[in-house]
This record gives sequence, C-alpha cells and structure tokens, in this order.
Amino acid sequence: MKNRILLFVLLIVFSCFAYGQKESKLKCNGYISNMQTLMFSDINKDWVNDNLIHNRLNFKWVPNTHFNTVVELRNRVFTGETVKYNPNYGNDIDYDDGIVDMSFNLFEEKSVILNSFVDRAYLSYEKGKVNVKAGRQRVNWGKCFVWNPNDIFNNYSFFDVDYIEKPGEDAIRLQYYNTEVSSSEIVVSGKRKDQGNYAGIYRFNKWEYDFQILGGFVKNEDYVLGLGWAGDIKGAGFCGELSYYHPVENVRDTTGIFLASIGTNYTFKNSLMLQFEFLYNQKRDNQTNINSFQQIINAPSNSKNLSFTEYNIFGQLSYPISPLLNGSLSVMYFPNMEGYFAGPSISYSLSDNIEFSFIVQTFGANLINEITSQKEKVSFTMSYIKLKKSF
Amino acid sequence: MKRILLFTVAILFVTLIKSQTATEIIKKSDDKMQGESNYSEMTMQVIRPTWTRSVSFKSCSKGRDYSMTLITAPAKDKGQTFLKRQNDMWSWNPSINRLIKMPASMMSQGWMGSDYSNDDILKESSIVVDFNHKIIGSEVFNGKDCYKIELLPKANAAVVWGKIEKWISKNSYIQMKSMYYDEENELIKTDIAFDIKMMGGREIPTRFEIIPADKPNQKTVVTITKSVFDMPVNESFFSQQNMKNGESIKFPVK
Repeated sequence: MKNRILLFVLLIVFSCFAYGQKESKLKCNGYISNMQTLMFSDINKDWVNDNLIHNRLNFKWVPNTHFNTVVELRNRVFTGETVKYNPNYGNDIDYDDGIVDMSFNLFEEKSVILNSFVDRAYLSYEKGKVNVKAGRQRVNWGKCFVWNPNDIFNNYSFFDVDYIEKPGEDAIRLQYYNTEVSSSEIVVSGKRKDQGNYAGIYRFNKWEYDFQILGGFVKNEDYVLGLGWAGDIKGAGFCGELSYYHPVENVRDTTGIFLASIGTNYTFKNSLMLQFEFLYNQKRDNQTNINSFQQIINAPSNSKNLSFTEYNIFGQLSYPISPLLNGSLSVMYFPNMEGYFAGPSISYSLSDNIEFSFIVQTFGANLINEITSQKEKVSFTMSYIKLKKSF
Repeated sequence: MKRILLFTVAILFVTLIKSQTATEIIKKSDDKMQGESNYSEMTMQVIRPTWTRSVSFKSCSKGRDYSMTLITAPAKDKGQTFLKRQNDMWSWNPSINRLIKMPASMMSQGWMGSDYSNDDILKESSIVVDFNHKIIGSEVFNGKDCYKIELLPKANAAVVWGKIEKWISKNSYIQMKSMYYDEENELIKTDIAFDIKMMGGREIPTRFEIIPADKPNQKTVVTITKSVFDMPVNESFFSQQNMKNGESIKFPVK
C-alpha cells in the first residue's frame, strides 16, 4: 500500500514537471528545498543536527471560468538526530486533525521518515459575486504580521521558518463580494476529533482603511467577536486586531478573554523597513506555566492563546544590503517571563529561482526547572541553512 | 510707462503661452503611453556586471486611478497580484492566501533590486498633475528633434524627485530621454527609450533603459512585449475578488 502511494506521489511530481511549463488548464508549481538545522542550548555542549528535504507541489485545475480545483501537498524527508533518537517523531510528524486524515508517512525507518501531507484540497465555484469553496483550504482572517487574534481558523507558529503557506482547515466557505472592496463570508469548519468553528466576517473599506468585523462560535467552547483594521498614518502601515472570547457554558457568570494586537511598519526611501507589533493576551491565571522552549516554538493550541505571556512586543528591521542580499533582524520581548527571542537572518538570490538563506533563532528566558521547581535562566538556539529552488 | 506695462504684460502672456505649451506637450506624451485604458505585458531585467535577474508581468490600467498587475515570472513570485483603486493599494499573495493593504511608504521599496520602484509600476505620481513644466530648449536626440522640458514638483505634491528633464520628440510626442534629479539637484537616473514601433495602434517605444547616474555599468531594461490602448474596461474589473484569481485573471484583451 505504502509503495503504491509513493509511486503515486512520484507520478504526480513528474506530471507537474511535464505540464507545469505549458499554458494548460492544469497549472502546477512549487519548490524543492534542502534545510540543515542545528540546535543547541549551549554552544559548547552537544548540538542536534537534522536535515529536511522539502518538496511542495501546488496543482490547480481550471476547466472553465466558474470551477477550479486546488490540491497542494508537501513531501518531506526527515533525517538526522531528532529522527534517530526520538522514537515518537514519526507519530509527531504524521499528525492531521482535519476531518480526513491526509498525512501519510510513506516511508519510516529508524533514521529516516518520508511524510506526504495534503494541506489544500478544495473545489471552488464562482459565479457573479458569489464564491463557494469546499474542502481543505486556508481561511486567513489576519490583518497584522505576527499575532492574529482575528485569524480564528488557524493556529500557526511564527517560528516555523519552513512553512510560509501555513496549514489549511477542512471547511465550507461562502463568500459574497458586496462591492469591489467589500465582502461577506460565512465559514463552517470541522475537525476529526474536535469541534469545528462557525463564523462570519464582513469586510469593508472606508476612509482609505480596510475594516473587518467578525463573530462566531469556536470549538463549541466560546463565542467570539472581533474587529480588525489596516490602513496608513502618514505613509506608515497601521494594523490592529481585537478579539473577545466568551465561554458558552455559564454565559452569565463567567468572564471572557480579550486579545489585542496592534502593529505598524514603515519603509524608508532606501528600502529599509521597520516593523513593530504588540500583543496583549489576557490570561485566566496570571502564571506562565512554561518549562520548555518547544512550547513557545510550537503552534499555539488555539487562537485565544496566541502567547504564553500577557504582554508581547515584536520588532523587525529588514534591509536589502545589496540587490541580491537581504538581511533582517526580528526580536521579541516577553516582560512577564523576562524572556526574549532574537532572529537574525540573511537571504541571497543565486538565480531567478534559487535562493540561499541562513536563519538563526535564539531564545532566552527564566523558566521553571521541572525537577527543582526553581526559576533558572536558560537559552536555546536553532539555526537553519537552506537552499530553495522554485519552479 | 504704458509701454513698460504693455511690455510686461506681453512677456507674461508669452510666458503663459509657453508654459501652457510645455504642459500640453507633457500631457500629450503622457496620454500617448497611458491612453484612457491600457493593457501591457512586459519584462524587466536588472542587469549588473556579474548577474542578471528578471521579472515579467501583465498590467491593466484605467486612467490613473485604477490598475491591476499580475506577476507571471519568476516562479517564486508568479501569481502575485497588485491592485490600485484611487489611493488604496493592495497586494495578494496566493501562497499565503492573504490580502495586504499596502501603506504609502511601501511604494518607495525597490522592485527586486531594480532602478524601478513600486511607484513607477503603480504610477502613483503623475508627471502632468504633480509638476510645473517649462520648455528650456530644443535638441536632437537619437535622430529625433525634441523639445527639452524641465519639470519641477509642485509645492504640495508627494513626489520623490527634485527635478526631471525630458526630451520629447516634436512630431510624435515620444519621451525619448528623461533625467531624474534629487532635491539636491544631483542626477539620480537616466531613462532612455528605444525600439519605436507600432503597437496596439500607436507608435511607442517598446524598450526602455534606466541607468543609475552613479553606476554607469548597471542598468534596468524594460521590454514591452504586448500593449493595447483604449480597450473597454469596467471599473469593476479592478476588484479584490478579481485580484484573488491570480494567474487565472481574465484581462479585458484578446
């Protein structure tokens, strides 16, 4: 069975190369990358060394102007020490909580895993101002850059450097474009083992700003109300997202959770771009029960818990050092846990479609030691060396 | 005394006619490349002594207020779209499925390391509206008899240039050469037109070379492979719904 799936994957890879270049009803593109990861908590101690080959394939079949079908998948080959020394790693990777499990470990041995994951698979029908999409798709309601309290269908990690597309959601989505710059949308999503979401959003443009208001019912747990905007103040981008979650049970005697992100960015004449963002994530208990960096790095469990601490500050500068070489530095500060994140990176264009990048992510914080229950200063660094070819 | 007055009035009048003419010439040459509406397919190459990068796009505009641009190459940027409606601008990136409202400052960002900026592509500022014009001479350039016109930005205009000089051919109103100066009157770049051909029913240059003043061995070359003028296009074409079609956008041309 597994070999058959493997054969099938290989077949579609080749069909992509064969059809992708031509003007045809079937469009295909994607990329292939090789990424070396190095991790350590102390540069003088043991390093963990991993490798990931990642191939993304995007298929779009457009038989006529009304219908189209999209299937997108990522094939990843994991090797290295994390695979070798972590017997559960295969299960961790092969995780898909959608209605249909579309993650497959096609090949799994002690030191290597090949996983194929379908993260988009939907049918789209559009007529006039109406668009209906059914299947696995990305519903993106975010307005800001790092933290998106309005993006109630997605929990993704900002620190995942190898997944710009972000996961999809199994959903039925009805969109109506009221005007050229405003739209209404209703989405019903589901999960295999968990409850899905029911929500609606209305977007409009006023005073040269984009606004959105949304409301819904999340995981059978909370009602949610949200407001978001994006516009500009004297040329600087200005965005914000507010969300309020209120528990469904005991509506009257409970209090909700409030999240707000607010951000700005400015591009100077020399293309230097500065960006700032702030997140307030109200917490039920004022404790930050976090004992490993993995908890910070992994995607948050849900959209009302975007961060481990109440206050979060983000800053980033990016600058084209030369036309081919881009440098950037991101930093985050979490005052409640005296923690920080710093992420310098460079990317270099080797040709129109080949890019080299070097990314460092370093975290530091006062965390509670699980054994001694004492707070101690710890740090953790990951670095990625990546070569990517798009086609 | 009366004579002096008459003389002053006459000078004023002549200057007035002259400046009107300069504006008219600029307007005619601007209309020539713009049209009421325009559809173009073009490739931009950034050429440096040791490397070359290129980007291709399809672009449709209606007047100055509406435009839709689709990137068709390279592979990593293919399918990205840009929409402009009056002062609002958005970008759509199909891989992250996100509509981004672009703030005005993002316009000054260079386009993939080229001497062209987002502003040039989305035609944010207008050489007709945002500048005062004056004919400062007459010169032959590349075999064409040209008006030499000076453009100085109006006081309240949001323009990145301190001065522009343009050589516009007298018989066909083609902008043969443009020199862009900063606020300190220092030359920044020179834009030269080549390969004048009939395209879309008009005689237009189909290749432009932009050479930065301080780096004469570098250039950006824009080649127009298709151009259609004054085709009917409705304002509703320039919509968020349409920009999300990415590669499948049906442009209003055959």
